[in-house]
Amino acid sequence: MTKHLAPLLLLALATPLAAKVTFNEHIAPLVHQNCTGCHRPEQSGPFSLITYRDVKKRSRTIEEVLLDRYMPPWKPVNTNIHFANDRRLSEKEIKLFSAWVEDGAPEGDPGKTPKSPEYPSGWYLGEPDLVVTMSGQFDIPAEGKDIYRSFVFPLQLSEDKWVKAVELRPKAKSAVHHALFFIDTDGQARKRDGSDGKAGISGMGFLREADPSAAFNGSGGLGGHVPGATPAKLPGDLAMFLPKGSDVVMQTHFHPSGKKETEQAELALYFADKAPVNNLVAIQIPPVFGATKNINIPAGEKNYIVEDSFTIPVPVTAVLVGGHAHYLCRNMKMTATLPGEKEMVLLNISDWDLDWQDRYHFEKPIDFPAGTVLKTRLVYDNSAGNPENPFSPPRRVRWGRQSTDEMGSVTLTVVPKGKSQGDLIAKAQRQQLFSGANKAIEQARKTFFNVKGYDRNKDGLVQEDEIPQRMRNRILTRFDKNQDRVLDAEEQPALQEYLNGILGGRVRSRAR
Amino acid sequence: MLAFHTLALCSLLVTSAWSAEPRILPDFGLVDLTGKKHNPAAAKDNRIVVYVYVSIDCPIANFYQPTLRKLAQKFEKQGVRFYQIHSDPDLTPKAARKHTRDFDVVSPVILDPTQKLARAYKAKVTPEVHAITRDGSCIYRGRIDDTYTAFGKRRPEPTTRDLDAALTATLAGKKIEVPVTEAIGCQIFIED
Repeated sequence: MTKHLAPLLLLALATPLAAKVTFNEHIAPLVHQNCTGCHRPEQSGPFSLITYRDVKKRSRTIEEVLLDRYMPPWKPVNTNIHFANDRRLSEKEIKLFSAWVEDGAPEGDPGKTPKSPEYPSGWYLGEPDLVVTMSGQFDIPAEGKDIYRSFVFPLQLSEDKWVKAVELRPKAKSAVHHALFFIDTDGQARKRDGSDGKAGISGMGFLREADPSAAFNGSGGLGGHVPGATPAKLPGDLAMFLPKGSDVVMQTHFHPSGKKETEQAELALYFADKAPVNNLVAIQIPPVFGATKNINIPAGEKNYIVEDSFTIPVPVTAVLVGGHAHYLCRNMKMTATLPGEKEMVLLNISDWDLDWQDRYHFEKPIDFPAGTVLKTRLVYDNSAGNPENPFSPPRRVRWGRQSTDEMGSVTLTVVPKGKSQGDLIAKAQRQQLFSGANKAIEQARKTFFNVKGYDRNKDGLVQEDEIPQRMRNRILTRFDKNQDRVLDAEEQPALQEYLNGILGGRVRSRAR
Repeated sequence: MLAFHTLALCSLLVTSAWSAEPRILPDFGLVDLTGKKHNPAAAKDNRIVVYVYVSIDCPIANFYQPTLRKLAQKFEKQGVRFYQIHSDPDLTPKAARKHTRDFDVVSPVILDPTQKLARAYKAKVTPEVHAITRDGSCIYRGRIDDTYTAFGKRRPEPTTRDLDAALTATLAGKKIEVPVTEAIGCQIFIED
């Protein structure tokens, strides 16, 4: 008897999928755990995925988006590092769902109907210490291009605060794609707010001319809001510094959804009781989103690479990583090489999508000794084959703050031991930033600001078509004295002197 | 039998825009949200009927509502009639009316709770369009344009406007370059 049963038992164990997959037993837990957080009433998901009927009706669409890895939204494809906020489904889970769909999406034992998951009403993280409302209302049209706009949340804090978490409640739920929070310490954003007659500040860049690293420094920011990401407080005693008198600026990305919507978000802040022992420091590579990397991508270029590296001068513990780039970026990678060891991949995004910018928290914080080399590699595709190319046909794209310009960097947020150690990182980054800026100026000095450099055919004359197009008319009007559309040896020195003047001005303004 | 014949062709799709074979557009006894009956074949000035399969909560279908409104208005004088079809057994007229208001839908909105239309024309996703001439020939089937290239992948501007091109060509008596495309969107659930 047992002789006959054993093989059957083995067979049953070896093929678990042979057992009938049902909603009540298998699919409900999977969906409730991974989808329902957003796909429930009043959340960012466009429809609810709670009941058997909800899921059955959409089973084929769900299967498609799972196989496509569009849902749940999760961009990193690292295999070596685990993130605490990982939302990626396993191959096995996706196969389970496909098997269920294949079998006609059966409900299963009605007695085993799972309870709908419960979510806290009100704010996810409980009673906030402060709730602020966006200054003004912004109307999002039903159609048109994506909108990038920054909004001000006046805080009016009379003392410095340390922030453990922020939580956003957008009103225009189907149009708000994501938001990033920055701190404005001197009221500049409030001054610019509404200057075009609508609430907020137009465009992507709330990047400050005077001190870009401060405005975009992760330690000076408050993180972001991504649909579906669960708000979480920073671990241990870690907190983000929020100086008194500052405002929060929310850079928002809207997708027009087909109907008109109005945004006036609420932001909840959760404070720490006291200052943390160690500060968070953001290491952005390349710094200032690649402003010094001379990003200049020819039309049609499929594989434009931007690389940069930084050697961490002091021991640190890395807690999270995230990246930023615009539409042309395809791949984004950050690696760390510990002294005498092999390279490890910290973040690998093989299909970058501006729509899903998240911050990835390491499940176990990683210790890096001094001398660890961080490297970023970004790949851009400016060909017509990149469907996200904002230009058709493709155009040359340079570094800039508009969404149709390009930029890019990966930011690693670390905790150094003690404040002085953090200052050393900032100092090393500043040095690198200025050496990068100097290199860019040196490059420009040899080409753009050098009349001899214009003379590509080396005939001693600068023909009209050898003058950079953007300056051609201005230069000819001013320096082509005999009006023959050619700058000869007599006309060139005045132009060189003029170019030296511009460059000198630039150098001074950079050094200020 | 005749209706069955034309439907079979429609779901398989004919490549020649105007067939010499005499056929008619079947009357499905369509009733719109306001209670008005529609038999597109009966109205003499209808040259082309466009059935657009939509949904109240498919983000891709909703994204196209402003485009659909513009197309319906652009081709109205030339005898093209757009109908928005909700083939959803659970949709209530109340929810459909709210959607119609929110998205400023100008075309007649038809509820298809028994899914007879979606079944007959083998509609697969929302948004999907079927453009059918008075004689019952399906001249174009598929996407509205190529803004979406995959789920969540959206071009800033479409590079081809397939439905517009198909209507324009047919009205000008020309051959449609691309009569079938694949629509990207949310799968229509057909009740057993």
